[in-house]
Amino acid sequence: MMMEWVYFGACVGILVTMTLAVARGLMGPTIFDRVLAVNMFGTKTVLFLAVVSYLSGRPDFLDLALAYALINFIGVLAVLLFFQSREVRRAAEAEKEAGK
Amino acid sequence: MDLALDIISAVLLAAGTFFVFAGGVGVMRMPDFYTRMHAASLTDTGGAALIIAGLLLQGGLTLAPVKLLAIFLFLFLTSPTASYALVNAALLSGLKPKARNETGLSLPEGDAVKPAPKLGERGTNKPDEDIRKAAAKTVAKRTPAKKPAAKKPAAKKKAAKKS
Repeated sequence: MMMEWVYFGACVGILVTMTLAVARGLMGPTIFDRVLAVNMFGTKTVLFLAVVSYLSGRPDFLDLALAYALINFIGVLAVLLFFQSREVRRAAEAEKEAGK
Repeated sequence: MDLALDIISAVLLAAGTFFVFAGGVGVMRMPDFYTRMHAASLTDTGGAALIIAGLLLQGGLTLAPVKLLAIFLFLFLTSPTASYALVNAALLSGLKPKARNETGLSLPEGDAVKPAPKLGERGTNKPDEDIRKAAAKTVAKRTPAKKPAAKKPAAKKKAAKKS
């Protein structure tokens, strides 16, 4: 019985953190703050799923957590590659237009 | 024995939740991107490790601890990698760390308000222009069809303002 309450407390803490991450994602002044918030939200989702699988006694949730961890990492890297080269691509477009 | 295991894993879970929550507060309240990144990346790895360790002790002899170990290994490898890639992308795109007198925190007595040092003036860092050139070179290498851009400083400044 004690462990259920511990799991519940951990769930609440992780959920509050996820809310904070979402708030930062909405506020974030730069695009990188938003990517950071998304990354953090993803990691916390993995943890949340792991704790919920123990809270509800269903170990299948761990598979979901694993899949989510994989997808989250790949997604963040893809978004970063896109934004890393955005400025250079814009400059190239501007140069092209100026050349015409 | 069971009670001892329960207590150990409860302590681990509580510590992990505290770390995770501290990371969330840090991400909300820190003054600029790099300090936020510091709060988030450390607690991402540390909090995840503690919470998963706490759950591992409760698994017993089933497949669940194996899966938890897989999740832990994966997070342990990818979380620092993602943090590194994020900071690298921010630095290459020209986002500068704030100096202390720009952050809005209170200054100690006698700390004169001087203009923030630029990235190139700190000695160890490359000048900003060099970093941008290196970024342009890297992108040009990855996409060989497009011309390496950014020879005109005027066009570049416009693009920087847009983003």
